[in-house]
Order: sequence, then structure tokens, then C-alpha cells
Amino acid sequence: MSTERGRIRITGFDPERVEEREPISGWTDEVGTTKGRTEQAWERFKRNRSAVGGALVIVTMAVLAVFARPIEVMSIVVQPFAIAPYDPAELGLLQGISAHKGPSVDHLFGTDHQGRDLFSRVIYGGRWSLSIGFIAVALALFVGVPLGAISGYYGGWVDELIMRIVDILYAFPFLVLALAVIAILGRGYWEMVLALTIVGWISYARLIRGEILSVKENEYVLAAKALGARDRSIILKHIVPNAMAPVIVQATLNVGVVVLAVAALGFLGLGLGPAAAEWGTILSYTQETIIQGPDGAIPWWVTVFPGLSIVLFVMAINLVGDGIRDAFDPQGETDTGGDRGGAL
Amino acid sequence: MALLEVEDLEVRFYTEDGVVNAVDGVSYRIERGEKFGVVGESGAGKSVTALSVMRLIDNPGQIEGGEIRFKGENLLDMDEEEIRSIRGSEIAMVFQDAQTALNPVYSVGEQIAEAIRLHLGYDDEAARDRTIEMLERVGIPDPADRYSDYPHQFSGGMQQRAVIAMALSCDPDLLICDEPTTALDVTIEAQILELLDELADEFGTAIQLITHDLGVVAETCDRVMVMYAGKPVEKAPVEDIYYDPKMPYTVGLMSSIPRIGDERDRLQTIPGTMPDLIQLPPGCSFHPRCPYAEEVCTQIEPPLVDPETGEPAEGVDAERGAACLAYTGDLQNELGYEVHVEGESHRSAVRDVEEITGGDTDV
Amino acid sequence: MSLRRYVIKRLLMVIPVLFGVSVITFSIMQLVPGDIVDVLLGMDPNADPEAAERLRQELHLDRPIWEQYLLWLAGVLQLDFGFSPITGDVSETIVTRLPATILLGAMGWVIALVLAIPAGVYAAVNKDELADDVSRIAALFGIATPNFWLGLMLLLVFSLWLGWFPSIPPDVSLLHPSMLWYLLLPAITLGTASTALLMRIMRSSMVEELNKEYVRTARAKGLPERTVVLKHVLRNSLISVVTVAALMTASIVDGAVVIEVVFSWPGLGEQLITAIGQRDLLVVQGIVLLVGVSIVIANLLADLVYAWLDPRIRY
Repeated sequence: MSTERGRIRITGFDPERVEEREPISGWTDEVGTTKGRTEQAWERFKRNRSAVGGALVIVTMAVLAVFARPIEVMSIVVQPFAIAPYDPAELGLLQGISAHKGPSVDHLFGTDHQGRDLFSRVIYGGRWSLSIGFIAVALALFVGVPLGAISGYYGGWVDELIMRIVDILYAFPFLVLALAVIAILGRGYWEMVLALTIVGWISYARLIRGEILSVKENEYVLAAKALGARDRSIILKHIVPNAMAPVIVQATLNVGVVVLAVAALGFLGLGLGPAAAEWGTILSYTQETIIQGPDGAIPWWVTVFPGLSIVLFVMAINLVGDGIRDAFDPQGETDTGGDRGGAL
Repeated sequence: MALLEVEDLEVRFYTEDGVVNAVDGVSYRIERGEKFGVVGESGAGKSVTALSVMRLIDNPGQIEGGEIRFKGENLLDMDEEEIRSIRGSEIAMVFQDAQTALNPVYSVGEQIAEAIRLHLGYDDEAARDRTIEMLERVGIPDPADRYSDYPHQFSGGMQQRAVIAMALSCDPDLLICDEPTTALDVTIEAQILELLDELADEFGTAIQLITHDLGVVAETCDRVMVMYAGKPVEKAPVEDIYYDPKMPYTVGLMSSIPRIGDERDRLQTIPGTMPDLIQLPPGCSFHPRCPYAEEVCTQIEPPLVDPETGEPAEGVDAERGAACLAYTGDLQNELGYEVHVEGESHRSAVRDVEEITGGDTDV
Repeated sequence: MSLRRYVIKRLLMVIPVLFGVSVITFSIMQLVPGDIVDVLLGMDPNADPEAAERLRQELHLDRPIWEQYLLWLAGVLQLDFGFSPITGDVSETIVTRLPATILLGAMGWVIALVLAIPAGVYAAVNKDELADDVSRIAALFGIATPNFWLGLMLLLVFSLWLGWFPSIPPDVSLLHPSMLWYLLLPAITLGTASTALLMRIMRSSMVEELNKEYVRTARAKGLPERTVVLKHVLRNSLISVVTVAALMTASIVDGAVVIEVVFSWPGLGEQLITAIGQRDLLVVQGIVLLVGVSIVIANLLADLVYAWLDPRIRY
């Protein structure tokens, strides 16, 4: 019958009539709204209850940390409030507050081995973890995103060089690399920030390079190139905004990873000074109480509460990160959790 | 009793964006050994209909209503085990893209032999022998050597032949082919269609051929159902579809087939695209794309009726049916198209030449 | 590409990475602020000047830096990591400590795989149902819980409160039953930490594979769902999970460092932390190099196993 096909012919079916006439009903093809991608993502994020819950937890913990004790800058008080009932550094033993006192109305989380109020120490401790978490991630982004973008966009020997460095750094586990940096620099706040930045930028560089490689072949980028747009303006206008969503998700989740690393370094005695009310550092002193258990009683609160605050914060940041991912990519089935450091 | 009777099938998908009426009131039957074509653009509900017959609709899809009777038994009433004994053994399926339809990590032979062992109860060696025999039958050279090859070592056409061998390996009564040649070159397409045709005759297998290409249907099928937006819009024996199409959508599909010796500058296509199934146009779903649409088309949904008599033709047994208000007497003007065959003019509807004149001249 | 060519190419790719790893490790000593000899001798102003001179000789500090590197590398290739003024021969320290870490790591790894793979498969098959939600929440806890704190809590509950385990390792050989019993808590701590991530990756890999067309073909053949999942889907998703399981070595090492400290386990991790605290940099250098090389080899093995499992590469 195929030979006969050529002999059938239809006349009078005139598609132009459809295009030329006024629409005969109010129905249109348009289903989606005209809102921008970011706006749509925000709408979806707001509807995600666990993500909003996570965000509230983070905000609450940040507020508690900031308002725990007054902040002075060059002996001018910029933040006069004090939510924490006690000075986190005040040695209760000297005031007649006994060490290892269980939770009570006076001391919600009990006291530690030097009679310090644990509740005050825990909410104040958020300052260290949260600030290092956000600063280290911001710095890592600042290094990793440009390097990854250059590497992915230009390719060639630049790409080769940057990716070899990334490969080499990837040969070291997250924490071991951070420990190596601290072995060189010694311990301290900025030393820790620097160590976690050196370790952290790699994942963004890799991620954004991959995104750019896939975006680069898109038609609109080729079109922009064909129209003679300059490289820099192509990267800034077309590629980076499209590749940013997964980077934002990764960065959010990495705040959690960094906070866990700060706690681990603190616990190992390689974070801040021993007196600092940082969560991991507090826990490093409770290890002795677990092994010995003073007077037969177990001061469980010194272990439980600082640990729970870490869990709470990291869980909240993960909920927010997952929420952002779902907001940008509602159908997505891939977990970006495949990066390192998740098991600290 | 017909081999397969599908009656008033309804399938919905519950997605985040809304309920998709993927298949809405589809009825048809396939006789033993018959070749039945299902035609339509992508999204018309052809594949969903086919998967429903296999009971392979996944979440979030649900078969919401109707009956699918195979040899008189309703497949929708069967439990999982009963339906499994039919899948692959009595009803088999050939998929669109053989490359993705084959599991990359098992050899082609193993994937065919697996079904033979399962349904025919052969031991490993007998299943291997039958597999090699089937591979040979579908035209794969050196079948014994290619048995242990992996899918990526086969060319596209060879992969599709292997999938056909797999489908026919347990001698099914019904073979559902879902766009079996879409992913292939035109030359290979013809070979594969010929092979299907030949094997179906030899094995006495009925075929339900799903395609968007009316040309493919012409070469293979006895009867045809045209689907649009989840609904059947025309049913007819294959000659009638070509020589006497009744539904404007079918006419549109026909006029978009490229022809040898066509002197026009460009192909006529149907304007616009298939509507989103979540938000169908009111009345006749085709009205936004139909050159003959009138206001009434936006108000009344046309039933499937016999175009000669205007009697309802929704049922399983209806041979001829078209869903257009032209046949229910609701349309003011006539459908102004004309089918020409071999120079003779074959009038499908009285045409108001003055009102609608296509810019074309006859060949 | 033939498998042999792939293997050769992959092996060649390891060389620049190993070179980079050695350079980074070597530079630990170079980057330390101040005179390295003073640092190694503990900044002791009364240190024996002869000892300082010996150390200077040993580290070839009088030579140009690239010569220092080559001499150091030559030593390392003969497993000579130097002689620490604090802990003596570094190689010996590593060799003594290594078995404990390997035992802990291997047990943790096995626990993670045994828990994560079935859990991930089960969650994927029951996607969006109760089991999937439970696994999601469990994974969230797993990811958010610091390793060391989980260890502390297990010690608190099972050693101190219930008294089932001693709280410090018994003084017996490594493979003694009571030692293995003690090891159970640290190994569970280490394993479960990696389980969360691996389970979610297993799940998403399974979900991705379950949506592929070959699954529909397998079902259309009439195969029971069990066969479809365990024969067709699992094999495909395990191929991609192999890579992740190898990458897990890195997080197992990280975990081991911290957990060894929690459980006073006499492994390399605990040694590393002590060495950093004492600025025993030769030991730090030796351990970091060993870790880096091990991870490179683990990743290499992962790629080779991947090639072996996936016929598309093997061919």
C-alpha cells in the first residue's frame, strides 16, 4: 500500500485558518504562571513545612547565640542583652556552685566539672560553631566558585591544572586535611576557619565546573556566543545563574558539615582554647567523666546537651538544604549528599 | 469471542500539578491474528492504553474504570500472579527504544532465555537453544555467537530485532508494539515492519501497533483507532481511514504525511500542539487546532458516532466511528476538505468551495 | 576501549596524583612557621645542640629544597619516614598502630554496607511510603549526629549505665575475643555514621534505575517483582554504588580518627591527634602520607571494579 500513499491527496484542510482567526474560546495553552524561577522556588520553599521548621530553628539558635551575652566592640556596647542566666566563663566553684550539679530550675542543663552553668555555655557556644560555619562556607564559595567557573568555561590547560589540584586534595579525607593544616598553623579561631576553607572550596569548584559543562552546550549559550557576546558576560549572564542552584544547596548542606568538623576539632582538643564554650570543646572535657564517672554518679547532662545542640543545628541546616533543593528541582530524585565529610 | 476487548477504559495520573486524564473512555477490540493500529501524536494516550493492557501502569497512574477482557477474562480482576503468567507469555510487548529497553548489564541471550525459562519451563540448555533459534528467526547473523553479546554491542536495528525475538519467544497471542520503529533509520524501519508483519502471520499473533505515523499503519494494519487527548476520535477499517477520513484530526494527520512527487513548498501540518491533559479545552478538545471549528465546538463534547447514521459508536464492537459534531448535526457548515485518489475525486463531505478554498492546486 | 587499555590509562592517571600527594605531605614541614628543628625539639631552649645538629643533618636542611624533597621521597619509597625526637622511628610507630585501625575500619565498613544496602533497596522499592519516610528520618539523624558524640552516648548507655562493655580497651592482643567485644561499640559508631549517607545514595540510585525502561521490559516479560528488583535493578545500581562505597573510605578514615580518641583505641588516628598536640610533625607527615596514598589506591580499585562490573566499559 505504500506505493499508493502517493496517490492519496487531501485538499481543503487549511491550517492557516486556525492561525488567522480570532480564538473561538477563552482556552489557551498556557498552564504555568509567568513567575520567575526564583520566585517559584520561594513559593515552594514556603510550603515545605520541615524546611521552614529548620529555618526557624537556625534563626532561633542564631538569635540565642547573639543575645546570650552583651557584645562590645572597642569597649562600646553594641548588643546589651543577656539571655544567658550566667556568664558562660564564670567558674561556679568560686561562687559556691557545686560541680556536676544535675539539671534544675536554676541550672536548666546542670553544671559542668567547674561549676559553670551548662545552659549558658551551650547557647553562648552557638556563636563559635555558627560563625565559623557560615564564614568558612562563604570563603570556600569565594574561592571555589570562580575557580570552578573558569575551569569549566575555558577548559584546556587551565581546566587540567585546576582539576589536578582538586584531584590531589580529594585524596585526603576532609578532617585529615583540616588536621594537617592545623598541624602546620596551630589551633585557634582563624586557623580553623582557614583550614576549613582550604578543605571546603574543592567541592564547589567541582560542582560548578560540572554544571557549567552541561549548561555550556545549551542553545542559548551557543546563541549568545554566535552573537559575539564576550566570555565574561556569557559566564556572568547565562551560565552562573543557571549553575547556582545546586551550589546554593551544596553550600547550605556544607554549613552543617563545617559545624560538625568544628565540633570534632574542638572535641579532639585542636579547635579553640580549652576554656572556650564551643560545643565540641565542652564535650572534650566530658570524656573523662564518662570513663571515670565521679563518685559513681553519671553526669549525663554534660554529654547530652551540648551534643543535642549540635544535632539540632545540623539537622535543621540539612532540612533547609533539602528544602532549597526541592524548591529548585521539585521532580529531582538525586541526593546531592554524595560529597565527602557527611559522616564526621 | 474477540481476542482482546477493551471497554470504556479510564486511566488517570495523580500528579502534583493536577489530575491527568491520560485515557478517557477508550473502547476497542482485536480479533485473533488481526493487526490493529492506534494512531495519534505523543501524549494522546496510546502508550498508556497499551501499558494498561499489560497492567503495567505505575504510580501515580491508576486504572480507574472499564474492563480489559483477554480471551473473555477481565485482566483488571486478576491478581498479580495471574497477570504475570499472561505477561510475556500470552501478551508481549515491543518497546519504542530497544537500546533503553534492554538491560545493559546482562547479555542479550540471557534476557531472552530468562522469559523462556520462566514461561515455558525449559531448562538452561533448552532455553538457550530456543533463544538462538529465535535470534536466527529475527534475522540476527551468527546467533550462537551473538547470544552472549551485551546490548551495546548490537546496532540499533539489531537491538530492536532482539527485543522482537524476546517478545515472540514464548509464542504470545497478542503482541503490543509501542512505536517500534521511531528510534530507527527509515531503511531499518521498513525492514523491521516487514519482519513484524511476516512473523505475526507465521506465528498467528495479533498485533496492536502504536504509532504516530499513519504511513506505518497503512503498511501493516487491518483496522485503526485514532486517539486525541486521551479519547478515541475515529475508528475505521484501514482503507476508510485513508480514502474516507471523517474526523478533521485524522485529515490533519493525513495531510502531514510527506509524499513523493509533492510539489508544494511545505508540508501542511496541524497547527499548534496537543493540549495539556490536565487542562483540556472545553467542548471538543481539538477545537483550538481545527480549521472547521465553530462556536458550538467549544460547548459540546462530540460523542463517537457512526458518521453515516449518527448512531452512537462508543462500544467495543463498533467498526466505524468519528467524534465530530459534523455527524450529530450540530455543526452549521460542512467540513470542507476533499480526498483525491488517482485523479478521481473522492468526496468525503459536501464541500462549500466558495467559503473554504485552500491555496493549493492539484498535482 | 578494551579493558586492558582502560586499566593502563587509569593506572597512568594515578601517577600525577600520587606525586601531588607527596608534594603536599612534604610541604607540611616546610610550611610550619619558625625553625623546623626548634619546633621538632619542642621549642626547648635547653635542648641538646648536638641533637639539633643531628636532626638538621637527617632532614638535609643544608641542601636546596628540591634536593630535600627528592631525598625525602627516596626515603619514603623505602618506607623510611624519619626518626622523631619524641616517638622514635616513625615507620615503627605506624606499623605498630596500623593493624588496630585497619581492624576498626574494616568492621565499620562491613557494618555500613550490611545496613545500608538492604535499607536503601527497601526504601527505594517502597518509595514515598512509610518505610521510605522512616529511612529518610533515620538518615537525617545519622548525618546530623557527630561521630564522636554518638560514641560518647553509646559509652554512656552501654558501658556506664548498662555495664555491658568495658569503657577502656582490655589489655590483651588485638584479636582476643574480649578485645573484639570491646571493638563492637566503636565499630558500630563508625559504621552507622557512614550508613546514613550510603543508604540514601543506594536509595536514589535504585529509584533512578527503577524508572528506566529495561525495568518495564523485565516486568513485561512477566518476571516476579522480586526478580526484577534483585536481578535486574540491583546489579545496575550496585555498579554506581561501588564508587560511593570506595569514596566512603575517606569518611571511614575521618571517622576512625575521632572514634579512636573517644574509645582510647590504640590506632593511627589516636596517634595522629597526639602527634599534632605534641607537634610531632614527622609522625603527622607519615600518617597523612599513608592516608593520602591509601585513598588514591581505594579510588583506583573502585574504578577498576566498576569497569569490571559494567560491560559497557569492559568491552
